[in-house]
Amino acid sequence: MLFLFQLIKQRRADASLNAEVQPDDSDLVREAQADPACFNLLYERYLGPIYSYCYVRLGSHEAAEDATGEVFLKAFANLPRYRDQMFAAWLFRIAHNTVINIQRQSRPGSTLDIGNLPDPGLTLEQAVIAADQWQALRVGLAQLPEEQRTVLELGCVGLSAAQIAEAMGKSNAAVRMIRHRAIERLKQIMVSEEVR
Amino acid sequence: MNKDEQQITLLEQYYAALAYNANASPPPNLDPASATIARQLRHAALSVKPGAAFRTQLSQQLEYQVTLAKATPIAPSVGRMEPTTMRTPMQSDIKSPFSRPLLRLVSAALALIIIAASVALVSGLLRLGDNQAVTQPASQPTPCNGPLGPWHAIAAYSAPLTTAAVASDGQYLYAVGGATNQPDVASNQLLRYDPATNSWSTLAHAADSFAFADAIYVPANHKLYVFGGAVATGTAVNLTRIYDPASNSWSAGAEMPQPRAEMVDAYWNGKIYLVAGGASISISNPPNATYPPQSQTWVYDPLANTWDTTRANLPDKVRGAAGAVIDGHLYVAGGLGEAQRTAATYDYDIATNTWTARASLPQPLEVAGSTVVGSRFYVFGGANSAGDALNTAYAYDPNSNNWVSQPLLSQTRSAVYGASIGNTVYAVGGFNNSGLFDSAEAATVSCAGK
Repeated sequence: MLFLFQLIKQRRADASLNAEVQPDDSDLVREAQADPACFNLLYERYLGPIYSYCYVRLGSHEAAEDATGEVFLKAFANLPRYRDQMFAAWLFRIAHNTVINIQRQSRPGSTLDIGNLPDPGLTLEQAVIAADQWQALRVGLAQLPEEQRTVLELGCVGLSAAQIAEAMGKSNAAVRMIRHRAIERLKQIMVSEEVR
Repeated sequence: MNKDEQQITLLEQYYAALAYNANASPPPNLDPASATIARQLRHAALSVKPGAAFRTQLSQQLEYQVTLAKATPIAPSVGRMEPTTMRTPMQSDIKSPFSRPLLRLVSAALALIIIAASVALVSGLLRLGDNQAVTQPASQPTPCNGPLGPWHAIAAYSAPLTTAAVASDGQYLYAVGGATNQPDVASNQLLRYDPATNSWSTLAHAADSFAFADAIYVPANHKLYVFGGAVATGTAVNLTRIYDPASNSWSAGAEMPQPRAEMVDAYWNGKIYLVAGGASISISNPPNATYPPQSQTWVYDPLANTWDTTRANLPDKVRGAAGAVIDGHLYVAGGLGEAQRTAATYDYDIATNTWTARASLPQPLEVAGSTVVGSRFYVFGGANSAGDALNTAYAYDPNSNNWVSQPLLSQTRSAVYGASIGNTVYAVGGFNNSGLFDSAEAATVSCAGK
């Protein structure tokens, strides 16, 4: 019996090599423009990264939910007018504009709550360490110039340099340089925070 | 290349690697402090995930927008997109009158009620005293109704297991109970599959062990309901088990009117429908089990925790049938009848409490997996008239009353359970002559064809 299960596992491993190739964003956009119901595929693909970006930027799950909902409703409404861009860059530009609006609308001086890391897969000790790191990163990011902060935040949710460049209207080289400077600046900030 | 340029290049390489693998090793010459920050940022971003309740609410909002868009092909009036700068906010975007997703959902539902009532008034169909208020779209949005793509393996779970009841909350798959590869030993495990990480995790065990149960997720209270099933001796039970993902804990609901295993379950408009099934079963050798199939239609109200046993019975007595609900119609296909396996398909109109025969399956089968994506009812695997495990898959289109063959499963799977997340169909577990599976596979419904 054990041998048979090993065979099954081998067959499964072989099958995974032929796993379905995921369609390009551009194909999904075309399908969604032809049939709005197909927007669901783009939504499924980008819900996690958009939510993560909004959370990183806004610092609370409640605010991230509001922003994420707004982003996808805007994207859905504007999809008929979307033309030949990188979809991810286009979507994250909407996300960025949305979170900036929300931040502007919040009362001056008001602070958003720092959400807890919700990953249920972490042990308590891992969660505490992750929360400490997360808090330090948030403090550091908040002290960066807007442009540097945006490059790092878009990068950490998985956007490529090219996607970030298109989203920000900059060249790839400029994004690479901004990212390098942002990391250098963040290192300095985090060291100084530790000294304190 | 100076030192800065070298570090920029290495950092970009590392960012590219982290995008695909958050645990990727940094290039050897990248400054360790830079690598640490890049990795921590990536990990922090990945650790943040939207909650199941929010996902459900947002999906429903988008489905509502799809309904509106299909009714009005031109998109709502919204401002132009700013093409290059990120600093200029969009003007006159769609604004919901409410700030929270739940309230937006309520606004959407109210708008839909108003639209539906207007249509009914115009057509002279609105009757005084008729309290059949439209509480959800008369026609559910149909995301994608194209053909099923090829099946591919997803992560295996921890041990061979079949007939674990499977359900989805739209974000995860849940598999609970099931028969193990030890003779007459059932499981009380609750497993959760996360498609984002392609991994299974173990949640709180149920209080009892069982196989051939029926699980269904209730979006109204974000809980998982697990009904009946058979214990190791093969006797069916009448338990209603309730799992709360928020607290990772189990509780008991009102017991079913009678013991049942291998029913058809479906959720529609706040109620759970449980149809047919059997009162006893042999776990260790399901294909040769004999026990009296049933034909009841029970309705469980998860919020009131009450049962309604007054609904019309299925015209046939079957167990192990496939089933799913589309647009207020519960479809029941195949199953093992009193004498043989059947290909019969029935349509239960929930609103009128009537059963109607529809086009039969291409072949008799039982214990197949089933689920719905868009407006198609997918049935896959199962056992044929001879009891042999199948790898066939079919899709039923209620509009054309027609079954269409779909890509074959990668292996034959009898007693397989099914569920869907978005447009992806999952076939979990099962067995064939090689034994029980610890595997599952998935296929995505294409938007290309209709």
